[in-house]
Amino acid sequence: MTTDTSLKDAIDQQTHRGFLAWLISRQIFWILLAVIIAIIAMMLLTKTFATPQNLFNVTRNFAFVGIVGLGMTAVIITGGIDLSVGATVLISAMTTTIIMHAGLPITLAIPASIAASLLVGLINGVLIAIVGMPAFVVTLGMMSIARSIGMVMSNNALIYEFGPDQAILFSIGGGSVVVGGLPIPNPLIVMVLLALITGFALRWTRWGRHLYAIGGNEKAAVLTGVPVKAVKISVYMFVAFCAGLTGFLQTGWLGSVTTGFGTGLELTVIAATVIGGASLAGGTGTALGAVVGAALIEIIRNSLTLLGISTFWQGTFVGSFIILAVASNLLRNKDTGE
Amino acid sequence: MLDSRDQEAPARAFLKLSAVRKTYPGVVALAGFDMLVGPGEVIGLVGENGAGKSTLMKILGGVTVPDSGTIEIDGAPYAGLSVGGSMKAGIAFVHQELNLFDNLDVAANVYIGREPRRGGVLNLVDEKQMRADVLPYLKRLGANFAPNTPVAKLSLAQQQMVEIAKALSVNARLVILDEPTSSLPLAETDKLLEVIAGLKAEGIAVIFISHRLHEIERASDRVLVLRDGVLVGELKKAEIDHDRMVKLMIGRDLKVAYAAPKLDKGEVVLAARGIRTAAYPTRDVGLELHAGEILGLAGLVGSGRTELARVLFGVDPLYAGTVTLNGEPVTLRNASDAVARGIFLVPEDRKGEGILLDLPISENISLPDLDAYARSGLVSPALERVQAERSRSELGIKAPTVMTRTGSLSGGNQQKVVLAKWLAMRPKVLIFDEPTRGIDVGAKAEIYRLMRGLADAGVAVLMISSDMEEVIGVSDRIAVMHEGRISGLLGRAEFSEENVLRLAVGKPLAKAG
Repeated sequence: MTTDTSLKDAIDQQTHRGFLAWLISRQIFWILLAVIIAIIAMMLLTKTFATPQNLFNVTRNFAFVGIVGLGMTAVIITGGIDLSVGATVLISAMTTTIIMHAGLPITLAIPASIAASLLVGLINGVLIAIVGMPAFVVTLGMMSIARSIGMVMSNNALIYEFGPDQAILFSIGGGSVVVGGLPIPNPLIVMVLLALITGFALRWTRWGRHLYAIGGNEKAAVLTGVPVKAVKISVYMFVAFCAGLTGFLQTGWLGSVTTGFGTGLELTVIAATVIGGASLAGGTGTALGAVVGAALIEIIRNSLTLLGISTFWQGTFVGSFIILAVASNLLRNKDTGE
Repeated sequence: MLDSRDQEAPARAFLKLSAVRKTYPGVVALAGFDMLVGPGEVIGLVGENGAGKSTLMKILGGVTVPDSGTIEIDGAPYAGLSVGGSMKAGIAFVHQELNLFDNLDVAANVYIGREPRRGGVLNLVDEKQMRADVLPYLKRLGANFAPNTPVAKLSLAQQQMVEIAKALSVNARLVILDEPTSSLPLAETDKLLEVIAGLKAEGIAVIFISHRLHEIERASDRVLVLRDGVLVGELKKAEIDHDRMVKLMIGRDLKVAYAAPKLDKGEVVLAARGIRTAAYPTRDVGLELHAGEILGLAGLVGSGRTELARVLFGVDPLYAGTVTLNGEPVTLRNASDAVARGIFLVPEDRKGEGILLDLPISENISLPDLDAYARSGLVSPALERVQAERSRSELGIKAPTVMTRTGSLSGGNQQKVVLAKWLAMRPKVLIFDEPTRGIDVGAKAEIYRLMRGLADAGVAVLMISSDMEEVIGVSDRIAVMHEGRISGLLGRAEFSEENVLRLAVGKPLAKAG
């Protein structure tokens, strides 16, 4: 390394290295490209894909994974993991259901379901950050506990009666806002807003910087005075908040709640964030990545259905994408001599 | 450059390098290097970072192949070695970062990958045999631990012995020690030097690489000095001298000269009384740190120095005692509390604890104090860059830009980044734990200058160091710790290696006279 390169030269070098070179070095770029190619291919191959009804379904479905994916990305940036998000979705949905089924107003159900979810996140966070247990173990245990409590709450009944505010609940989760003639599903709007806030927070706030610092080197973060414990608790509460929001919205969309709610969601969400460029080793990940990763998974799912391919093949496609995304990232980094 | 004939030819060379050359794109790492190593010879190899030492080691270890030149081992010529070939030829390495498995015991570490088996259908590992086999090697090295001790329980010096035992067990003829003492405390260093003497007596050659020139001076029969890939000097036993080596290494004179403080010792800034730490829960330790002074904290590793520093920085719990800052008692529950009060720590393990290698310089500097770089709650990269630029010019951080990834900097420059983040926050107390470990001579002097500059600006500086030259050369006062308490305080007039060592092992000072 030459030491007498002037600052200006060096900055010039960095900025003029070429936008294209920078772009193709990003995993997110390739995933986005895959999403676009898949969309174009589906538009050419089928008549059913580009219909407003199908797009409405696709975007709404992926919004749920995207919302939880945003929280998961924050957790993964710190080098953690949360396996209990699917069960948290159930807790939130059950809380909503029980309160509204009892005839109480939705204005109570919303804060209560979010509070119940935050409690799950708080317990996870305290056990991980203060007691110092591994995140994988804590949230694995919590996955089991939360789902079981959700089942106890339901009394194993399928509930589809939501009291006087039922119409409001259904219209929030299942409704849409018409923009320029196209109906945009409400969950998508929530996801976009949350993605903007999360993306902003990760990039520009103290909290966001601290997440990357903890994921990069937790010991150094501690010795630099970063409030590591508080930040870690906050991040598990954030992902639980996202799961709680999803639980509530999904209840409104489906109009009924079963004990199987959110089962397996944690793995889909982790897959989405990894495809979107987050590293399970911590230190990397973006809000956009989570959203694009979630979109890709949903498009694969939808395409297979529309093309009449057995849904049993879904796992193969999603799994291949996870491995391909991470492998290509590894190869590109080797090229740049890291 | 010296010709190989100038090197004192040992009776029959074990290893002979002739005109070995290795280039990387844009850099000549080794420019026609010659070296002879005889059996039982201890060769000191010194040079600044980037002088070509590591390239030479990579060639000997078979990791890279030279562009030209020959390597002769026992008279057999090679154009290049492979990793396996190097091992088979009897070359063994003990790296600065030890390659041991903490979770396995000593014997398992020595025999990893070639465990003795019991035969039979299952062909199980014969642990008993393995432990019996490793015992003679441990005895030869004068080790004081059993073959079934888990490596995690051993001190660094003991772990090095395990590595050396591994070398002995494969019948190594040449043991290469890469910076073996940089993490060792005084007494353990002596132990290692004894082990080197033992290897020599058995006819095993040693190449000893170190930044600690006093140890090179004590251990080596011959010293080779590398600079910019060229052998710039060879010193015979009688010629080995600290200043001469430094001069050859950097091409000019440089001495760690004691700079007297500008100001008289100021008020007591930080006072610790009756402190008990996790390491020594029954021993009280106390010290007073004045504004404008550099207090050296010497002692053996395990004497409780690092633990004291960690308590003063709030990362370890305080079991008993009080800490006062400018006369006010303070409670430090975590590092954030200490940072908020202007007490900062530059940790020993720079890469593991000091900085975030993946972040740019500017983000490392702003991390502890992001509020100061925020505009209406949002961190401003522009403000971060302004501060980073200021730090870069003030501390002389050598980097292409302040957006450069910190991990790509040299050790000295990384240490400056650690310092820069604290300096940007106006320190009252700065605690350095082994501030120049693994940093080359030129950068060391700069770090010392910065430390002195801080003290002169009224900062109270506490410097933990196992490097005798550094403790004596840099401190205004020296506090020596022994088994969890301060065993003595030395003023400048009493500074000597002997005094520090006596206090470190718990003996009283020799009566003057």
